[in-house]
Amino acid sequence: MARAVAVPKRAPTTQPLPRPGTMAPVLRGLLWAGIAFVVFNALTLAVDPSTQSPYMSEPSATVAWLAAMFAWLLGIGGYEAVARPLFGSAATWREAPGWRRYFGYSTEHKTIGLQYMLMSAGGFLVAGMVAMAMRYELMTPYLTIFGTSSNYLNAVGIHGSIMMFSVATVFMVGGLGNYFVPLMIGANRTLFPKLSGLSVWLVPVGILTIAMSPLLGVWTTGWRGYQPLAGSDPGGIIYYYLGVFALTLSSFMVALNLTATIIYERAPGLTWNRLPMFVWGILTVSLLNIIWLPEIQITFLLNLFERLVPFNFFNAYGSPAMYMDLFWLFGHPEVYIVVVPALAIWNEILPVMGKKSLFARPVAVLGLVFVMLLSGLVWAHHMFTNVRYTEQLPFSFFTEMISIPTGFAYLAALGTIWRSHLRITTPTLLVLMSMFNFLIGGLTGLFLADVPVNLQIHNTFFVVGHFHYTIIGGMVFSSFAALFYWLPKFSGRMFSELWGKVGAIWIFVAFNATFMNFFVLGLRGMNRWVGVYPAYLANENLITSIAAFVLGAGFLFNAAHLAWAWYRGRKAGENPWGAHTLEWQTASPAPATNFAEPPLVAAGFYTYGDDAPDVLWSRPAVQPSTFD
Amino acid sequence: MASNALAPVPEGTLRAHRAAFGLFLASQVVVFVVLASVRFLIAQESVAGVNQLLGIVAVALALVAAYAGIRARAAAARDLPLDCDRRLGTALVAGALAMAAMFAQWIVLGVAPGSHYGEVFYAMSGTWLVYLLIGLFLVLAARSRGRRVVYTAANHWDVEAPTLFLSWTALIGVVVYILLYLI
Repeated sequence: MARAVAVPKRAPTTQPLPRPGTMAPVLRGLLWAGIAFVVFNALTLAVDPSTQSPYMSEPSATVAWLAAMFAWLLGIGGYEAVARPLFGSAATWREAPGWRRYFGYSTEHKTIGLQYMLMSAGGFLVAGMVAMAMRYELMTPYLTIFGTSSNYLNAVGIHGSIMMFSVATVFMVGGLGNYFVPLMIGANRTLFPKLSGLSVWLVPVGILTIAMSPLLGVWTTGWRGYQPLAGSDPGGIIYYYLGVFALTLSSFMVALNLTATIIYERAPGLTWNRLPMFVWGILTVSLLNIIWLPEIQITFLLNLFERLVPFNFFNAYGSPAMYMDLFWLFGHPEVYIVVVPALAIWNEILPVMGKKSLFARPVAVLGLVFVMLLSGLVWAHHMFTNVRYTEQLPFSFFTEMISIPTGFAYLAALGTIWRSHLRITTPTLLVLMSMFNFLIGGLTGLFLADVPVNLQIHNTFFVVGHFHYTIIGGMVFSSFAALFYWLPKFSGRMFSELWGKVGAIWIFVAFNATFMNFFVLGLRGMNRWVGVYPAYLANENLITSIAAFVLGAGFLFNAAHLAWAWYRGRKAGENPWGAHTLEWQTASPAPATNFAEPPLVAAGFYTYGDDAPDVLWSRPAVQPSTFD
Repeated sequence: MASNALAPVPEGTLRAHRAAFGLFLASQVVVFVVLASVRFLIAQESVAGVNQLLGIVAVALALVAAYAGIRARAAAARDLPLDCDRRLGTALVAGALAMAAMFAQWIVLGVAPGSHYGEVFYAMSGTWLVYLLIGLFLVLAARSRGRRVVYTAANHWDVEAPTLFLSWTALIGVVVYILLYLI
């Protein structure tokens, strides 16, 4: 196979520099958002007859938040790049060069991808620190640092909401998707770069809104926002609704952009049969996002109206069960929104590391597609304690059935490993660990799909262990695998295999020590949503908390290793893994214009061995890499 | 061709834009499916206390706005920028009147706001009004942009998208009318 041509890394940029003295976009955005918040809060208070406080009411906090969000988006560059052209004026936005481009509006998909990843990592850090505080609290059977049960429950809600909506949903699709989909389909851009350029800046809005929501009063519902509890909580719940609205809006915009890009921007010869596995994963997940995110958005907005007007849709005068249905109609597909890209990553990395053709590729793709289709039919297994007996069986059946297409992706990975000469690199190790973790998550999911078992362990730590195995074990481990695998593409540098493996084993051991204990705790009667528990569970909780702290330190270690390797790692070469997919057919790191001319795809990317065909008809000239 | 005429958009790009926009509009149907579900899950009672005339007027005006939008799109496609501008203006006026009619309905609504039907009425019609407002804002933006640049047969996506959105909103208005006023 022909190799990409090595080229000088930096080339002179022709982009004009921003005017001297121009305020940094992030600072300007913050300033505009602050002004908008204060002004609109005051205006609403002036006209709102039901003022709850002389300084802020729930309606004024809502209106001020909306104004601040728009002002923020205009301030980070949306005014010059989007608003002015919308009304016919010339776009006057100039993207800053170098590292400063990450702190403002951009239309470059790699910049946007990295912005998404960094912001999502910020969310992971915030929610992870909250988790550490929760585990510190659970080291003793009585309340210590949180003081009241409501404070503890608020922490659980903040942790869950930020993890689900800004990390699990965002990192792979918004981050890796924006960065790699155009590269992997031979395109130079996404179809709607302005859309993603704006959407990424909704992520910090959402994270900060949820993180600061207790300032309006603690809310105790967790990430599910269950009614009628939500209706009786103080005002902080409205910033949960609005924060989630911002985050889901961001994911929705990305989903539209990437779906259209995958359908319409593929390189010549890149048929559906040849589409990379990761791109298939992003496409299926994006379709799920396009269907289900509007559903949860309107549901949360109805909740918001219920607070502000007030209405009685979901409280005791309405139908709390209807809210549960509407929430889980989105909530279960959400699990697959999180996991499907991880399944795709396994089948992206394993053929490369095993130098063996991907086993049963069409079946693996069908698995992703059928998971997507079935994911909307299983929601009520979260509500077995609330639904009629006659409704339990069909949802139990479909829940168990969804393990079949999930298994397709799994078996494709296993078949690829079988009799391959698998290189046990750090990405390989992390993929194998992710497969193990996801297997545990899947098997315990089968128990939970069975009604008799579910009724016994409902709302216990067993359930918490199950979904953490699925989401952290599946998605977070796969995300680390992807980061190590694509590090040479991001930075042109290679990580340390020794420290990579140390980091991988560290988080694997600590993760299993933490969450395997959750199953034991759950079976022994440890309930979710409690900061106070029976004293006989103290020892297990103490051990679990210590393991959780080690896990948190392990994630920091891996992040520090990646940061070090990004800047100080040894030079990696253009295609250090010898992969066939298109992102490796251009310089590493990829130049600003990914491909000087569209690559002509001649064959699929997952055939390895002596008879593997060249994937391109002709090798395009490689652009200089200006993207450091 | 005028110096400020928009450069042609490749047919493939336009096709992609149309498909993505169609996907977006389809996704927004989900919002009204949820609202319709809420309508029939908690407010099964029959329609009462609404002013049928105001409802019909609001939806009819939205349809007029949508038709004007279609004509504006056709004018842009025939390189008739002045005609396009006039039609967009008509769409704006008709759309604003549709909003006014619905607000009038809110004022004279003979249903207790605290009843489930009243809650659903305000939520569903209010959501529709938000979409209509967004549609009118986009039409206004397209019209303002049309004063600075010249839409051409080969590039009038900026007219096409808002007017398509307005047509979709009008159709949703018909569905909302059926759900809230008839059944």
